[in-house]
Amino acid sequence: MEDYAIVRLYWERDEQAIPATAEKYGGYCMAIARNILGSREDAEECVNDTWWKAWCSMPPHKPDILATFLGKITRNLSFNRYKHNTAEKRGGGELPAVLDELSEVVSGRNTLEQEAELRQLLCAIDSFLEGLSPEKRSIFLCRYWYADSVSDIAARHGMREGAVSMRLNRLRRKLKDYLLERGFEL
Amino acid sequence: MTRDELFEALGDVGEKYVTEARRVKKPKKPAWMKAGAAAACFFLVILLYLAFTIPKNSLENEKAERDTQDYVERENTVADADGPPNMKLNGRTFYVSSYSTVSEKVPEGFSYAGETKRDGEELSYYLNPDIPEWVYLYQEVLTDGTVDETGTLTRTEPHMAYVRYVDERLRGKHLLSCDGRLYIDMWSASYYDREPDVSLEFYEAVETEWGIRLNEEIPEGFQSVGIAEFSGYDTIPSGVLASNMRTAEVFVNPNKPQVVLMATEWYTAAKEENGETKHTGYDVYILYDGPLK
Repeated sequence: MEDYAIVRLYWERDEQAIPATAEKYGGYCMAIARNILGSREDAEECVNDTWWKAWCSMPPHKPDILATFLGKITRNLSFNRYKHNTAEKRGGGELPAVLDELSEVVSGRNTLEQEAELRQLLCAIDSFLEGLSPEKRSIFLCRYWYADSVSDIAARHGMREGAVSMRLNRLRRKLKDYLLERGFEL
Repeated sequence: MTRDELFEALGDVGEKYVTEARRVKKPKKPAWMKAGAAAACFFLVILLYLAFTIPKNSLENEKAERDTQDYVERENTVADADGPPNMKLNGRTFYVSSYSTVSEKVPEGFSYAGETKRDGEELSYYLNPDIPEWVYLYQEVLTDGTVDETGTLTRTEPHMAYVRYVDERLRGKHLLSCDGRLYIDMWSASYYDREPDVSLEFYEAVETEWGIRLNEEIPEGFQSVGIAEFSGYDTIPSGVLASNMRTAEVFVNPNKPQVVLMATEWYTAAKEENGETKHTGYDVYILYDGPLK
């Protein structure tokens, strides 16, 4: 089913919207949740919660890209669940490694105090991404947005795992320099 | 900043990058395959599986068609999430038709125009100068067959066929030609693409005044101008009254030339309803100002 037709079902408050979404994007959202959480059971719960959140969000939302709209909900829900699980010392898929890598970019101190600062940071990250080649951008986002494993990224891009790790390492350093140059306190 | 904050911030980066990230695929062939490439190229099989056989001319067949298409969409879930199959030609992207239009013979008016490369495979494409918004690609197709009245799917073997690809600016757009002017329904109108169908200001103004669809009586001042004829899927309708979606009654208000209403019906089955409820109403079409005029 086309995305606009699925969105239309949500706007009509037609409950068929949920099976239609699950059929088309269940695998996509499940992959994101599993990457972050590791546990199939937790991932399934987050994906089911994604449909509920989508149901509550449309209307008023009419997403331009339904896949990313749903993926973002799943990512947020899964990350919240991850933090909850970590507090209880449970689980975690690729995320512990992903977060360890990101800790190389930041200091670990709480420096983002204002919403405006967060928006500025987002703009800076967007322009950083814009300056990358599509391949590098894909590698970066597969790792830090989708939390894909290095081996999955290597398979997707036809590269060796070592080459992916090295490229990610360079991209993290590049991001750090980029943000520091623009005055962000990391 | 903490790493958690950074991870959360990364979740809000531009959607186009997030979508694009999963589209990049560059599978490298192992060395042994490279060595044998010359011989092996005769045996390479295209992995793009599409579509169906379209039965026609009866209600049963229409149901079978819907069932078959649903089946195909399930089969293509991963591909859909990564974006539909597409090809680039002269700087334009053509996506496989939403209606999965496949032909066993070269479609009338189309002729061989060259080769395009996909996944290392040379595929022939066919053009028709009178219909520049379509390209047919000769490729392997998984014709998953038909569903009979009992719901049994009869599959057929993969085979080569001509698959319609549609200009990205037209694909999925519901257009209506009314008295020579082109309109687009609010559901498919884009105000955000590189080449938008309508301006954001116009879209928002119409959405505020009319909404996307009316589920009430026809508003005062609108009069029927007849039944739009179906111009065919993926077409740009033209003439007095034609739609690329379906045959339906059209209503206009001479004092509101920027909006046209087209009769529609839909069903809901919410919990509080006793089974399916049929609704009737009107899809709102607005004056098209995009690149296909």
